Amino acid sequence: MALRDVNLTIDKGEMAFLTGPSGAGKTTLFRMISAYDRPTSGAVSVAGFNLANLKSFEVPQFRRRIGVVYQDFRLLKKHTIFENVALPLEVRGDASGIVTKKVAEVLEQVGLAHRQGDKPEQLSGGEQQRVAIARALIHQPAVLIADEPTGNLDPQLSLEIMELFEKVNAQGTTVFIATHDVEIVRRKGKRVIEINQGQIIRGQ
Amino acid sequence: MSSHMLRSLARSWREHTGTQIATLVVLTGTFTIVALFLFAQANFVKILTRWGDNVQFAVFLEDAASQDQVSAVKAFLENSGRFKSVDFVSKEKAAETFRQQMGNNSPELLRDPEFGNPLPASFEARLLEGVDSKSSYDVLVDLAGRVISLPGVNDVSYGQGWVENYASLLKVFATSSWILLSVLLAGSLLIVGNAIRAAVQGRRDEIEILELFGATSWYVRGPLIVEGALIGLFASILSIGLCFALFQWQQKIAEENLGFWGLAKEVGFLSGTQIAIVLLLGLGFGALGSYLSVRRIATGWAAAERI
Repeated sequence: MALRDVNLTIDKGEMAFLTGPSGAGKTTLFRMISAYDRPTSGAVSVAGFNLANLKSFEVPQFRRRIGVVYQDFRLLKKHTIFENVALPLEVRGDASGIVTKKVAEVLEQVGLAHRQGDKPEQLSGGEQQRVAIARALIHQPAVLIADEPTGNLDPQLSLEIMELFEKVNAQGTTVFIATHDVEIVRRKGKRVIEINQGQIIRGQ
Repeated sequence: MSSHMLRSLARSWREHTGTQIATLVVLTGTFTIVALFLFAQANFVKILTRWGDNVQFAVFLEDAASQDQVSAVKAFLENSGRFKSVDFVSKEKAAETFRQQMGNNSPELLRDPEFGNPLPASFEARLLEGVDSKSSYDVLVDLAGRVISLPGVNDVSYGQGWVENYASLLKVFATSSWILLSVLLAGSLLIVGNAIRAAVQGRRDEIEILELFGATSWYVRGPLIVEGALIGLFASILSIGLCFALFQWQQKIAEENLGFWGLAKEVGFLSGTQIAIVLLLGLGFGALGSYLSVRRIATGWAAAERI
């Protein structure tokens, strides 16, 4: 059993960190709340969707309501930065004019407006993470979930990325970040939820 | 077709050109055999039907048959609606024909004063419609049974053995055609399915990412199904072209070497309907083969793990 007796509420508009050692269950919890895995028992409610009872056809609807940032970025290597960032809008069928405008705006927000035509491999790790964040934000999700978003970055870049998340949170988006970077968590002074051996031990 | 679909198709062709070409070639071969079968079936039946048109229905009369009985037999044949002509052949006419046909082989026969006339008078009837199926053969057998029971009729001949073999041949050909076509079309499903499966494997990461950002099943599967359908359609178009080239070639051979059979005039290329059938088969089986290989992907929950 990866998680047990977990009882956790994050309020709308809140920014919170999930910390814990490797194997504590952070990724499992992260996969549950991003509808990557289905819980075997209990209830998981995110952005108005009860994920435990989510039907297959409702999964895409839910995923369009959240934004997800992965530690390994999960960018499409053969696609341009523009195409990667446009993905959430493309899958919901937005008109190309709107897509172009919003991609330009969000890339401007993360400081990569000039890299639209590049491929991910032409970007540094920090830039790729910012592209991943831009993709997670472009459809204005109700909740932004990030799994170790600074795991591959140096301390300076990590701080920049965290500042970006704070900006997003300031605009009203709920932000939930799984990280093992204790220093960053301490400096930000936000709510910290600590998990170990599948159970929440602090910040419930 | 959406820009997403077009981009997806273009990317798939660019990234899996070798697999796509191999699939197209194998599928073209398969559909060429299907098209050739339709072609052969239509023309084989046409040629056999032409031969079936020449089936003679002969009713041999008893020597003692009265004029009324002969008239009744004639009326029965004419009113049956099965014959385009009914000709009476007298004993004398039959003997004369026999002498003419056998004279060259046996000159003594013509000079033999003792030669009697063992041949009966008969009616020779030509069928209105040829024997082109087992059912039309059964109608002929039934008719013969009714004619032979008429007073004054001694025997009925319609090349029973030959016609029976011929009707069986038609049946065997039709049955074997369907079996072979079924096998080939099932094979085409597997061929397309494998090509699409290879494309899915090559795009596993992309599919997973699409799903994670809210792509629906059909957003993911649609381009793959259209890709399969297009491969099938292109293959069927190529197969019809190949079949036409083969047809032209065989026409030339038939005219040059087998002209005396008149086959070149009998044999025709696929009809518009048959061409449409081949194209629809290509399109349909391409889409179906593709669907069968993608039906388990993009089902919602952790879909990428089920690829």
